[in-house]
Amino acid sequence: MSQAVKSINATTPQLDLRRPAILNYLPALLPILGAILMVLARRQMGAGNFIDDGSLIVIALLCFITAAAMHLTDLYAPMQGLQKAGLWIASLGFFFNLSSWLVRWVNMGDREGWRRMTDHDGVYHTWWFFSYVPFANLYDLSLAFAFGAALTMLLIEHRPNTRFVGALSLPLICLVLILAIFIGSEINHLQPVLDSYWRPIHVGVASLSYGIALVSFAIAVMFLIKDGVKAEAMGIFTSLFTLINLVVFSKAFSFSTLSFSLNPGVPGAGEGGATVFVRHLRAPLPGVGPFVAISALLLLIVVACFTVYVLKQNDAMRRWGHWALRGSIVAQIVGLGVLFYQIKSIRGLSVPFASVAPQQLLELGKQAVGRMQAGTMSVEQLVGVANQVLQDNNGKMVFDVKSNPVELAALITSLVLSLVIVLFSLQPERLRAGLPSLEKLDSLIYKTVGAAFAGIAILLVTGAIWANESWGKYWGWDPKETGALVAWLAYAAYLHTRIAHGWSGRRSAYFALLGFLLVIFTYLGVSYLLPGMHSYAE
Amino acid sequence: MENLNQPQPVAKAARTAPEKKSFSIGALIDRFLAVISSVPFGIILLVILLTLAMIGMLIQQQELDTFATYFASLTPAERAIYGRLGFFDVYHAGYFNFLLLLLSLNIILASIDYFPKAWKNMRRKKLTASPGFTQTLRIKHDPIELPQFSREALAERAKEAAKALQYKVKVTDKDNRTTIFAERGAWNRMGAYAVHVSLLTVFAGGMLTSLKSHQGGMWVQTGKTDDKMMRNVFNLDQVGQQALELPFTVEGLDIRQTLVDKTKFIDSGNTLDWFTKVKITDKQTNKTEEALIHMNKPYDYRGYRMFQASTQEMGGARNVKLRVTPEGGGAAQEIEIPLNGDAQLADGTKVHYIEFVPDFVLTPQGQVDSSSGQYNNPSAHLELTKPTGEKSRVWTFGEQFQKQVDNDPALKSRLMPPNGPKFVLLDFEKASQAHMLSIQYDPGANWFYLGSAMLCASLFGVFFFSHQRLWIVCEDGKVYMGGDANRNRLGFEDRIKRIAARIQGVTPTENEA
Repeated sequence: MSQAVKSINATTPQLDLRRPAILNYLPALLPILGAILMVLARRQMGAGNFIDDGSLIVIALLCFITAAAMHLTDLYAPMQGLQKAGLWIASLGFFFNLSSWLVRWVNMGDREGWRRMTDHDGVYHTWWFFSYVPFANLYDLSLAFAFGAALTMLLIEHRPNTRFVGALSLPLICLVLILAIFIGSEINHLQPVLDSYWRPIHVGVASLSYGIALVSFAIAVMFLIKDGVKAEAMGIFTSLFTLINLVVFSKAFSFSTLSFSLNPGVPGAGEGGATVFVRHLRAPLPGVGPFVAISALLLLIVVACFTVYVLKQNDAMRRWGHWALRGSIVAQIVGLGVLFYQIKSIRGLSVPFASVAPQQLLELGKQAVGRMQAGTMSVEQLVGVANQVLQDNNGKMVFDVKSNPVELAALITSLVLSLVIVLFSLQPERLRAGLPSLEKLDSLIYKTVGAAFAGIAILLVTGAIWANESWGKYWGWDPKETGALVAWLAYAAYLHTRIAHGWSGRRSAYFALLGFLLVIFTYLGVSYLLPGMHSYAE
Repeated sequence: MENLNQPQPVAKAARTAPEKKSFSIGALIDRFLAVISSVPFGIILLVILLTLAMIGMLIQQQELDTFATYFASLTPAERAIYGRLGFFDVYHAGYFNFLLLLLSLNIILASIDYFPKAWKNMRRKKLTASPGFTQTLRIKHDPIELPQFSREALAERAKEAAKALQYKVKVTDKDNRTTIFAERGAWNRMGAYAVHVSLLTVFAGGMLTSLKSHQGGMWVQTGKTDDKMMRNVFNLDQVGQQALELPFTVEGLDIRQTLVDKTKFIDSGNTLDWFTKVKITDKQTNKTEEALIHMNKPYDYRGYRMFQASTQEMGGARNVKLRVTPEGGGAAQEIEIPLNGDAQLADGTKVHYIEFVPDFVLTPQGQVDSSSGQYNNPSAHLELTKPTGEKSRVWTFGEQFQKQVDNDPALKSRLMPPNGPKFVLLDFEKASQAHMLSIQYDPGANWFYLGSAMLCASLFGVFFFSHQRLWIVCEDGKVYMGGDANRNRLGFEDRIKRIAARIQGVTPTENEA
């Protein structure tokens, strides 16, 4: 990008100079104040008389969806009122999101009677209420990730001409909250190793850094649009993302049988009547697989057509690609509809022994007896245990969205990405005109990447200190810490390429995209796919 | 960092200068230094390290508990290739450490290379400027025309406006112009060097850790003493153990567990914390000290750090509450005894609590055993010492099982002496039978901490502040402004606009600090 001289003048101010600066930050600050009042009200009124944290997060999601729609509309048809309304509805979403998290904090304490605030000698410590800070699992982190991103977005949007940032940040925040809702808001017992004051510091920094990285990603995409990158080129990558997810990562869809399966659960089998999901056992949901297969096939056509279009400017291929993309969207919507209908309607499920693959039976047997004991048992014995598990739960199992939250959220993400590509391909010139200058976008990327880089560094350091207090080594190359290090190195590479080669603009934007993808891999991929200290993988 | 009018660094200039076609060692060293001190080389190293780190994430490392299963699932070819390339222990591979060393060297050399430029940028103050100069700068303001004001009046306004926004101001009059050079955050130019020094400190700590540290585990039981820690030695899917002698002994004094629900088992899902109280005796000085170690609360002794690591999920009892009926009948007495502790009965008999079995059972060979770790049939083993010095041992049970024993003479004779007081186990405080302490000796940790603290502070300084320079040139009735910032240009633009507004007589009401 050129080092163009930037001319500014006071006749078209971005800020009303007569207005106290603090007022520009009200959409970011008021929700924090409101959420504190909300949690105080919850303390006064008790859990029974107050809205629960799970409902608050649904309201937050609805606000964010509305605000996203307004921001996107404003990009194509700028309207002063709409822009302001979008900003304040996003602010309302932030309020409900933060309130949900704070109410959850009180709920966690109430659940245990705030026993952790008393030490082993029976002495009460007021500041130990940090023991109940809701950073115990991926649900909590997702809530904080979402409000970290919302706060960053609202802070950046204090200038009227940066109010485009929410157009892409908000849909991403919605996806994070959808994932959280799928994971479920049940409060689990906090493992003693996690009961440290380093937890709120470390995970708090993580959520804010991830949030800033999300916003930098959104701005980088906007930069690429402004810089003339075609929506179709982006469509190649979003379609590949969906296909790679289905082929490589998701265990739900089978290309050989064209079936879509989830882990069934046994209701009431867990503590407090919770549903216990039978990991390692997959049961197909009738009617879903064919739609997933059709949408995957159409996305494959999208990739082929758009690639030819981008390389050879073949307009016919562009049209075909768009038809395939729209077809895929229809297939995805119908598939998701059938999927959620089946999840809700199938009850009293039985999984016949003969229908389960031998490897699944083996893993099921191991899960039932525990890893330690499994080592002393033969394959036949383990299969026998698995058979017994199936018989015991015969006619008792159900499906639930909480069984495979990441896989289900990935399906919705694929749909949203496809919709965004269609949207961006409509009147791209109008969209570009609605975005600020490349220089401003580049400056915003640099600013957010710099903050994310500093945040992830602090995340790594606080994690290392906590690890040294808990596990006796400050660095253990655990996949999650390595993942964060990799994301940090990617951002370091971004910053150094600016210094060494003066790289800015499009190449910098690609680095910002890579950095956030690595952050997402650390946030989800490592937790669910790789074993380690931070793993939820079986 | 983008700088204004930066001179080229010395090394770059040397690289681009026409080279003599000779193969002197000096020239070769120069060229070598130019390459390894370059930022592009550093970026290449970063990318390679990033790739290796990803490989280490995707290929399970041999220290993981699940490695044996993973290793068994690989094909012979995969095992051979990954093994040869050191991918099963990539972070401890020689080439990985070599790359880290090379990166450290690159950071040092590149910092030396770029330092003069940054220093010059920080120190150089261009105190005079022309209107034309301000309009060539990256961020400029449209000229402000206020014909009713003199140069001096405008300069005064500009100076006050810049000061109000916390700029350091230098005013220079020259050629019928007044130049106000306003600057803030010049130290920010040094931030990158502080970050790199911090990183090098972290690396030095890491290097010390990898060369000098050792770590192991020790099982602690109440009343038992040990002076060795066991270290795991990995060789692919084979895990061996090696004993390392410590310069002190550790005696278990107390094992305690706080539970969420005292009626439930002692698993981690029902635990708030594990506490291990030990007595440490120095082998050299014979000095002793007591230490309480619990989750996230390690204890440091002579460079060794002891952590609460894990527990044995075998039900134990920290103390037992017993009802004792004297041998010849009479009033029953209740006593409470800590594990490995004593209590005295009314007749002077001393009762010592030896051990606890959670699920008491006699094996076909007549040995006492626990059929599980659960508290299904709890039993405490006691040693009685009469005032005469006569010793005997007795197993005590809950009321129900005690009746069964009383009704089975053969069993009774096996578990308790024919004469003596009768015991009933009334209650007990649940705890694990043994706690595992992790013991670490790591001289690199303090360096790591120091580097980390420096890193946080310096990164905060670098990315949340910026070096801003602004030139305001005042002539009679006219003001020209232009400047640049190495970061946060949007914020800098806002400041310029606020200064312009103040010069024009608009006084914003906000706190502009």
